[in-house]
Amino acid sequence: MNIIEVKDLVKYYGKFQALDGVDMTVRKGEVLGFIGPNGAGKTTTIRILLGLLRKTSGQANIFGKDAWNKAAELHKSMAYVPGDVNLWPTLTGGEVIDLLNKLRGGINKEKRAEMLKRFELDPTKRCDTYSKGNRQKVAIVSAFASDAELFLMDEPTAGLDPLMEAVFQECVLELKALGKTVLLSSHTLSVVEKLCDQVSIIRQGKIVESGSLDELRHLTRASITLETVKPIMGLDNIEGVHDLSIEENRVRARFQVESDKLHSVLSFLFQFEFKSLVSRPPSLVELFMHHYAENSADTGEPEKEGAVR
Amino acid sequence: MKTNAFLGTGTLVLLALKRDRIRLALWILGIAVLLGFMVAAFGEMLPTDQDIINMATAHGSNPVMRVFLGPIAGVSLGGFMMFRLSTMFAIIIAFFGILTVTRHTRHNEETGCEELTGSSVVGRHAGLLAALLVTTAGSIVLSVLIALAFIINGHPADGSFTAGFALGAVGIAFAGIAAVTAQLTDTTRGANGLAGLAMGALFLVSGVGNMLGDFDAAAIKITSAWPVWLSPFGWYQQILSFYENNWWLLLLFVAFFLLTAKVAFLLNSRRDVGMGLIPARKGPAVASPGLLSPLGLAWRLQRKLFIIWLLAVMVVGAVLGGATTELAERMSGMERTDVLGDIFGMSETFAMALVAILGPFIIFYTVQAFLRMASEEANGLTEPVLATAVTPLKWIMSHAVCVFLGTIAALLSLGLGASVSALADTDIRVLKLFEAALIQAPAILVLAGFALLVFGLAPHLSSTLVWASLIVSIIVGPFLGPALDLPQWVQNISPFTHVPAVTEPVTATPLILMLVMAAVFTAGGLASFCRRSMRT
Repeated sequence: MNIIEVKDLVKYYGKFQALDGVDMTVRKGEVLGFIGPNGAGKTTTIRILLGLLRKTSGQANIFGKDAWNKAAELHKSMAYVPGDVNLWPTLTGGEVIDLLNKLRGGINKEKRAEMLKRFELDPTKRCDTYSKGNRQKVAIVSAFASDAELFLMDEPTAGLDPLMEAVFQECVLELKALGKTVLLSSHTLSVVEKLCDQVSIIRQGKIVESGSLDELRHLTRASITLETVKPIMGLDNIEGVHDLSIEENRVRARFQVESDKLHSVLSFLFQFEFKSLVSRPPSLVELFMHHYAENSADTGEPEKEGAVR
Repeated sequence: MKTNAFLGTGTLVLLALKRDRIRLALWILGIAVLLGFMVAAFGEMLPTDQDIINMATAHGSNPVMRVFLGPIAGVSLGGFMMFRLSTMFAIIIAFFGILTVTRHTRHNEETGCEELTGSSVVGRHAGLLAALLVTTAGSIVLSVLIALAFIINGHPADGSFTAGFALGAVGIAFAGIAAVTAQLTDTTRGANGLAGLAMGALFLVSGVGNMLGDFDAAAIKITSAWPVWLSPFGWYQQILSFYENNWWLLLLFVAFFLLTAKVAFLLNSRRDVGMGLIPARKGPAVASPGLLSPLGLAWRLQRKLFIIWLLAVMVVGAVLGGATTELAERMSGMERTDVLGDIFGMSETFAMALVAILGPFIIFYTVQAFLRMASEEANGLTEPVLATAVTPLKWIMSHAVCVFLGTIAALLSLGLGASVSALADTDIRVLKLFEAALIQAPAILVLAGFALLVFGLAPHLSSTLVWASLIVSIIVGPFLGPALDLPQWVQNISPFTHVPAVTEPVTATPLILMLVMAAVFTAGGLASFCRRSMRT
C-alpha cells in the first residue's frame, strides 16, 4: 500500500517555480531519505504533504486521500517534526508536547515519559528559554510520543548533539521495526544511509534520482584501490575508468570505475596479477556530490539557495 | 559606571539612523504634516474670535470632554488647537517615543542583533544610550517641524515654538519610560505593553485633573486641578502655549528624562543580555486540561492582554464615573451654556455620555487581540497546530471567539466600572450604563470583521490596513469628524458615526445593519483564510 503518493507536483510562489513536477512514492513500512541542497524544494514538498501549502497542480495523496482537502483528518495519524521549530514562548515544553498530541488525538503518557527520559528534556522550562537543540527535542519528543502511522521529518536533527542524534536514530529504527512509515529529509547523509531503505534526491524542484541505495549505487562509480605484481600499463585508455592515479613504480593504483564497467575493467587488470584489491561502493556523499557537481556544471545555473522555505 | 560602557555609541546611532531612515522620516513628517493640515482646517472653520469662543465654551464647559482635551486659556486659534487637538498628538508622539526606544533596545536583544554588536567593540550601555539619543533627536526635530507647521499657518512664533517643544517633550518623556520598561521584561511586546499601560495611567491622571478643574466662561480659561502636575501630559498642557508660554516647564521634562534614563542604565548594568529583570520561572511539566484544545490555546495566548484591558477599562470607568457624580452636584446650580446643556443635572445621561465617549476606544483592545492572532501565523506558530487534526477553520474561530467575546466583555466591564457613579447617585440606573456601553459593540465588531477579512485575503498587509482603518474611524468619527467639519459622507465611513448618540432615542436599524456587515466580513475572512496557504 502506498502511504505517500505524489505525482507531477508543481508549486509556484508568484512567478518563482519551487516544484517542477515532483514524483514520489512511499510504501507502508518504508523509511524514505529525502535529500537535496538548500532551496531544492524539500520543505515545500513536505509542507504541501501537510496541507499547509496549496499545490499549483499535480497530485499529493496520503493514505490515498488528498493532502489539502482531508488535511485535518489525515493528521490524526501523522506526526511532523519541522527543521526550524517555533514554539509558544510562554508555554513550557511539557505543555507543548501535551497540546500537540492531544490536538492530534490523544496523549500516550507512557511513551511521553519514556521519550522525555531518552532525550533528556526538562519539560518544566518555558519554551523561550530553550536552546535551538532543546526546541527541536520538544518537537521530536512530541512526534515519537504519538501513535502516528506516518512521520514527516524535515531536517529534524540539525541542532542535536551527537549523543542525541544517536538516540534519534535508535528511535527511527524502532519505528521501522513497528512497520511505521517515515519521510526523512536530512543533510546528514551518513544518517540517511544508515536509516533509509529508499532515497529520493531532489534538485531545483525535480526528483533527479530515486530508488534503493543499492540501485543508486549501480548508477555510479565504485572506488578501487589495488596493488599488482607487474607494472600497470594502459589503464587510462580503458573505458569507464576515472580519476586514475598511479604511483611511480606503477604497481599501486587508485581510480573510480563506473559500476557497469567493473567487470571489463577488472578483466583487463587481471594480467598484472593482483597483490591486493579493495573495492568500496560509493557513499551517499559521493553520490550526492557527483550528482550536484555534475548537473550544476551541465546547466551552468546557480543554486537558488534559500529561495524556497 | 565606566566610560567605556558607552563605547561605540556613535556607531550604533549611525546604524539606527541608517536602519530607520524611512521609518523615522515617516513618523516625524507624518505627524507634522497631519498637524499642519488640521491647524489649517481649524483656521478656515473658525474665522472669527467669536467662533473660537463659542466652540471653546461648548467643549470646555463639558467636563466629560475635558478628560480628553487640554486646558484652554485665552482666545486664540493656536490656543484652541492646543486645547482641542493636542492630546491626540501627544498620545501619538508618546507612542513614537516608546516604539522607537524599544525597537532599538529590547527588540535588538530579542532578535539577537544585540549579541552580534555586543561582541564587537561596543560598551554594554551603548545600545540603550544610542536608542535614547536617536529618539530624543527625533523628538527635537519633530518639535521644530510642529513649530513650523504653526508658523506657516500664521501663528505667533513664540507660541508656535513652545507648542512644538511641549509636544516633542512628551516623546522624550516616554522615551525615558520605555527605556526603563525595556529593562524589566524580556520581550518587546511586554516592554511596549508596560510603557503603554504607564501612558494610559498618566493620561487618565491628567484627564481627571482637567475634568475636576474649573471653566471660567468669562475669561475662557480652564484652571486644572492638582492631579495634572503628576503627569507629563499635564506638564505640556500647563505650558499654555499661545497664552502664558511657560517654557520653563520644559525643565520638568529634562529632569524626568534624566531620572528615568539613570534608572534604566542602573537596571541595565544589573542584568544579562537577552534577559529581563523579572526572571523566567519554571512552569508545569504537564498541560492542564483547559489548555488542550484550539480554544484553550487561543485563550491562553489572549488572556493576558484581555485581563489587563478588562481591569484598565474598569478602573478608568470607575475613576471617571466616580468623578461625574461629584461634578453633577457642582454643576446643578450653574448656567447651562453647553451643547449637552439640556442634560445637565441629569447625572444619568452624564454618566452615559462618559461611557459612550470611552466605549469606542475599546477598539484598541480588539485590534491588539486580533494582531495577537495574526502574529501567531507570522511567527510560524500556526503550523504546528495545523499539522495536527485541527482544521484552519477551527483555529481561526478559536481566536475570533476570544476577540469578539473579549470585546463585549471589555464593554461590559466599562459599564460596570462606570456603575460606581450609581453608588453615589441613586438616580443613575445601572442598566442604562450597560446599554450605553453595549451599543458601541456593533461598530467595533464591524472593524473586527474587517480585520478578519483582510487577514484572510492579504495577511502580509493586515497589520497596516487594520491600524489604518482604526485611525480613520476615530478621526472621521464623532470624536473629531464634526469638529473638523468633514462632509457627512466622509464621516459616514466611520462605523462610530452610525451609533445613536446618548441623547437620541436608540434606533435598531443602523445597529442591525452593522451587525450584518460584521457577520458578512467575518464569514468572508474565515472562508478566505481556510482557502489560502499558510505564510512563511
